[in-house]
Amino acid sequence: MSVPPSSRELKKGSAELLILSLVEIRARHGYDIARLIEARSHGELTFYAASLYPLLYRLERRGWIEGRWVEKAGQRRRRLYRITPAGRKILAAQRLGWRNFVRAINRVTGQEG
Amino acid sequence: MPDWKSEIRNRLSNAGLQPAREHEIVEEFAQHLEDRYQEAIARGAREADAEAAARREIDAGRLAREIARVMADPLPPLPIGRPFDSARGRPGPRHWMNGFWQDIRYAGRTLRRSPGFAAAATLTIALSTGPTIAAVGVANWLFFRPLPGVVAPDRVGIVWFGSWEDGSFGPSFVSYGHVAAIQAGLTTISGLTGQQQASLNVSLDNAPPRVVPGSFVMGNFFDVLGVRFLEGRGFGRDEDRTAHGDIALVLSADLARSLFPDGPAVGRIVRINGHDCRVVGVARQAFRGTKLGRSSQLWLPGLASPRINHAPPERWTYPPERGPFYEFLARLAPDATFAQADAELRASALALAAGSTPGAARFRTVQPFLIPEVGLDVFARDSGWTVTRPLLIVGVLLVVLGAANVANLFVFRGVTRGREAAVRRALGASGSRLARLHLVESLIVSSVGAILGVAVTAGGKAWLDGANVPGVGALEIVIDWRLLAIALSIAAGVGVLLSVAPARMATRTDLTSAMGRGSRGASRSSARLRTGLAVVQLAVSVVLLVEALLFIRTLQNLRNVDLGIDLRGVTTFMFASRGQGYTPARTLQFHRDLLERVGHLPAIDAVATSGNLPIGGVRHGARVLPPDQAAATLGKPNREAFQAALRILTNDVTPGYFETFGMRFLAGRTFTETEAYTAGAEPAVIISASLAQRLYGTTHAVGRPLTFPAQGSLPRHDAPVVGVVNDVRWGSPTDKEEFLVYRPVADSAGLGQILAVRSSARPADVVRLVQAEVSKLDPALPMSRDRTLAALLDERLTQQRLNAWALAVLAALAFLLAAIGIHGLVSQTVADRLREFGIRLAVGASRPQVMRLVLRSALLIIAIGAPLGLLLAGLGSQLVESRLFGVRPLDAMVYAVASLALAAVVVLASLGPAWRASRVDPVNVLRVE
Repeated sequence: MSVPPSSRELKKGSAELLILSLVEIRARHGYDIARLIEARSHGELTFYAASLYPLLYRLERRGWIEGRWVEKAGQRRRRLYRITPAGRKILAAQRLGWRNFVRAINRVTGQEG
Repeated sequence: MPDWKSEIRNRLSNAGLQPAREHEIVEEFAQHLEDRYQEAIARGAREADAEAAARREIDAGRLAREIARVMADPLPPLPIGRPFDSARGRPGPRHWMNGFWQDIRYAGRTLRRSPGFAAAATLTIALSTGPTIAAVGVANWLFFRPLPGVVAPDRVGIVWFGSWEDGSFGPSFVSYGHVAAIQAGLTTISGLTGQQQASLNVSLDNAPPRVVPGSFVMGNFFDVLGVRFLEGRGFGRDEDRTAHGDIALVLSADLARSLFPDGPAVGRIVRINGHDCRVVGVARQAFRGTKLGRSSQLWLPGLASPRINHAPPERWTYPPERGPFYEFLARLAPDATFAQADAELRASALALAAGSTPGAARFRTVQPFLIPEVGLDVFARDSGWTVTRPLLIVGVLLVVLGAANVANLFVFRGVTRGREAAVRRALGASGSRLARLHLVESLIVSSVGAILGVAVTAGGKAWLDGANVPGVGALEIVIDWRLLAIALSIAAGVGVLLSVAPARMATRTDLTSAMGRGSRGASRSSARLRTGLAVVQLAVSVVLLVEALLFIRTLQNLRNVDLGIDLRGVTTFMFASRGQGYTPARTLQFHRDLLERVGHLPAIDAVATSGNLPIGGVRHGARVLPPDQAAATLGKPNREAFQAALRILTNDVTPGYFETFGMRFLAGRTFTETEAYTAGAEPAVIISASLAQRLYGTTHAVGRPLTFPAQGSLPRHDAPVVGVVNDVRWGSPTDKEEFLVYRPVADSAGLGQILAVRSSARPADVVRLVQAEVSKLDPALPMSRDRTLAALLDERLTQQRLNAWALAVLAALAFLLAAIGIHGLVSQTVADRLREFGIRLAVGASRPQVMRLVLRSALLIIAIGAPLGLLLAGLGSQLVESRLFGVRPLDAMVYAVASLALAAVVVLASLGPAWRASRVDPVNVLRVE
């Protein structure tokens, strides 16, 4: 019957959610975000630069996150991304939607009463 | 370490980025790759492996295309929130307009991005508004078209002299002198001129004669109307002052060109009714008289009219109180109104009556009536309106349908754009701003659609060709600023309606639910709305189809009515012998000679002349006395006998009439030569079967006397019945069979101007043959109106044909629109429930079961739409009952066909989506999202 969704499929639907969650508390640069996703998912999810940055630019164009070049003493300048108020609303909505979706899947596949 | 920057720059070269932005992106990517490389090295990887790991970061996917796509993201941070005056930080009027332009640009962009949607929506609007605009165009022509070639036609009215008696208008011809006296001193009318229409025989020495519509007019006619001339001038004062001397003639541009193709017309001689007339002017192209639908091609001075009509010289001059006209045209003085002019005219006529002017006492009863418009006369307008009204009503229905369809598309789109709307609201766009965006978008769609609709209308002009309405002539569609304005207001109305639903949806959407729903999921209310729209569409389609079928049946029935005559192969002609000044005796001789010649042609089966024509003829009435009344009124006053008499129709015919029209003798025979052509020698009549029954109680009435009561100058007299023929329906198939008395043509010599020919040859050949014979007898006698009886019948049925065709086309369009709408609706339902269907299939539902599931939702539309449509159709049919013939408004067959058509359309429209639903791959469906 149903096969477990591949990480690629899941990523497609949830990447926005992942990125928004990671920049929710503090601003992060792209490499940081990629590493965190990989680490926190224990290697299940990997974002290459070629797909990560287009996503970041897209979210930025939508006004959900904003990027800014920051220079710190003794370091190279980096582009840090932070969530915007609009992004926060989207994140809340997407979390809810995601939760509902997972719950629905579980209900259908019988993993939840 | 590799040079990442140049590597990345190379890959981005196709993305079309702005240099500054590209620089930033290159730097960001380069840092990322360097981080990756350094980390690998730090973990102890070899340099080559570290480099490969970094390179992998940019190898996946096509970087340039991805980035380019992001930069063209459909959600740029555009016109959202309140437009602010950046300098002062508050909204200003100029910036409100800015916001509006922004909206238009934005809506244009959105529409361009979904060309399929935009095309479907505009085309639907165009198709559904096109017929309405056409109908409005006809109405525009009927009611508003200013007279071409006339200066300020809205300041010109018609004046009729006459009196109202028993509700009918009796016109009175008034003299030039009296009109001048009435007009003298009027402050509200600057010009008054007379006109009288006439059919005139026109011939040149070396061209075949023809009959041309023209007018006798007063000398100041062209001045009052402000007509301009291509050549020459209008009539001078002298040309309409005396009945003697040269007759002046003004030609229309068309007639001048056809008579004198290679030279100026002024100064040339044209024969009118056999009289030489000198051309003094050619009116400008546009001017064709003041009557729409009955154009004039030439104009003659009014005082020449007795002479042109072959009156003897002692009657060329009119008595002091009479003249050639009862119809006049009045031009209002500046600032005067028609009401003021009407009042002043009447007062002036009464004042004249009170004075001592000879013959003016008649104006105590004869009054001028000012009709505040020229163009179509009241009767033509009525009959034109009868034809146009159903088209307008149906057109409005069609617009409703089209709008429902496009509204459906918009709602559908509104659903899919719910997220966008939610995001915009989250970012601070006000609800009204979003509503305005939707409004602008739907206004663009409906305006473009309506403009296309005008184009459709222009194309539809050809469709109206040959639509001759009795009394109006050929219908025309006038496309002018007024029509464009109406088209655009229809567009605006439709546009506003279209934007209501999506705008409401957009402003009500709250972010959380929109996002939670994801890309799928119409709200329940929008689904209800769309189902409602589909139901309305279906119901309207059913109404149109039922009416179309009823009218098609009506048309069929009318064509198949037994008229009592055989139309096939009969061609009729009129010859204007009276215009040529024939005396009754000469007319009679002409008839005999012509029948002799034409009757001997091998291609001709039968031929006759008659004073009148069934189908398309007029009604000549007379009275006859039933035998008992004939006996009872003998010796009593004429009035008494006349009132006791029976109304009948008469026709004066030659012996071949009954054979030519394929009629049957139930008893007796046709007229003999002597009876037919020798007036008063051997009186005889032939009567119709029902009249024989009514008068004598039997059709075996040969030899019985038929009594005509005294009427006018004719004394009471008897004539023996020599034959009884079958009944005919006279005017049209809807008429009942009437009492008819056929009299010999000799009794009414001069009236018999119709020639009827039965032949199996092609009508065009018959016309040529007959034409040749007529010109051998009199080369100057023009023949006109050669028509087959079948064509005459068609002309009689114009209105029914127009109704049937218009409704059939519109019903087809309506069903097409409804089918598209339902297809869209069911497709959307399927898309919404794809997951459900996937799950059902996954847990063991069969594919036919899923299909049935989808079709069941379509059945809901039938279940509501069908009864609603049939109910409305039933009500609508009651309204048109008086126009139906041979079919009842609730004809079971018609409603059965309509129901079947409806069911078929719904099922066909939803079969595709249902099939797709049943082919769903459960695995794929559950993965999505």
